[in-house]
Amino acid sequence: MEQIINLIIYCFIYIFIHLGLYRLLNINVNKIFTVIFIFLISLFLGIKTSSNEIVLNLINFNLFVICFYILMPGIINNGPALLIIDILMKENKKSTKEKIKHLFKIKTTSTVVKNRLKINIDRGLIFRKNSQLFLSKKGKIIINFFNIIIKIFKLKIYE
Amino acid sequence: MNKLNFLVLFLPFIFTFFYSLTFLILQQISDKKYLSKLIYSFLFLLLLKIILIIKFYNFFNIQEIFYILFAFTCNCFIFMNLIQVPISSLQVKLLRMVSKNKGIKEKKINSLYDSNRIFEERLKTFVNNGTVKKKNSLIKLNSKKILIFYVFFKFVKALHNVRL
Repeated sequence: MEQIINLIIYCFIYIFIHLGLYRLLNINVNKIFTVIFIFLISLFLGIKTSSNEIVLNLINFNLFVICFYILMPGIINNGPALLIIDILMKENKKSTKEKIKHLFKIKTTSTVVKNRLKINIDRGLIFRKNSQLFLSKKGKIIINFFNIIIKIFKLKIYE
Repeated sequence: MNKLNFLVLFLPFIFTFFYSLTFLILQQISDKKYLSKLIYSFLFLLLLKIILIIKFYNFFNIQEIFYILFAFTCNCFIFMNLIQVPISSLQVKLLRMVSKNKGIKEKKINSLYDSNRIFEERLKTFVNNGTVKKKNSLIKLNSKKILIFYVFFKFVKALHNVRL
């Protein structure tokens, strides 16, 4: 039971550190570097202690950190899907398409695509050459990976 | 580490593999919405896992039971996101656009992918996965499941001082 409480405390500490830094200093610690850093520390601790209970707790904590890492972009950036749901909720769950579209346009303006494009460029997935955009090797790997997922699971993409 | 410890360690990962396998089989045989299949196959395996734990309760201690359930839930969350990303991520869509049109200019992307198109695509996805119902020009929220996500996201966004 003690180990479970410990895990819950670690998770809360992680959330509070993240929240504190994000709200007070506008620093987002939720980066791939943090995930790798925590994984390496856990690996070291796991090998050093060789205790079953600690290993189980470390795996759980690392999984929590990965889940948190996946969740955060959706929290910080306002996705179009959430905006549509938000508009519908404010309109008592039903409205006309034209009205929703109008409200959606007011909320999104033109920053949504620009922001996502900037993130892709910053992460090195896309590079600029003479004001033209090209996919980097990293970007190609990601696209190929998702294409495999789409083929295996027969997913439908609405484009 | 004895055999049982190894089993406990890998059990959530084995079950996650079965989760992806269940989803894969359902995708091949059923035309129902993928979101429902993702959620229901998760619930089915979670239930199966709980039944197994109850049946072999004497072999596990509380921490191991907690580990098995927590790690399985986290793994499933990661898998659900892996499925969701190619369908709904705008970032991936932009990558695909650049991949199809090599050397495309940023202005062209902005003109091709304006808020009008984003809205239409999202609405199409929502109609196809049953989140909203479209009758003539009236759009109605259909799924109650999405409200759980909506309330959760609104709460966490408020914690981060991010406005919708």
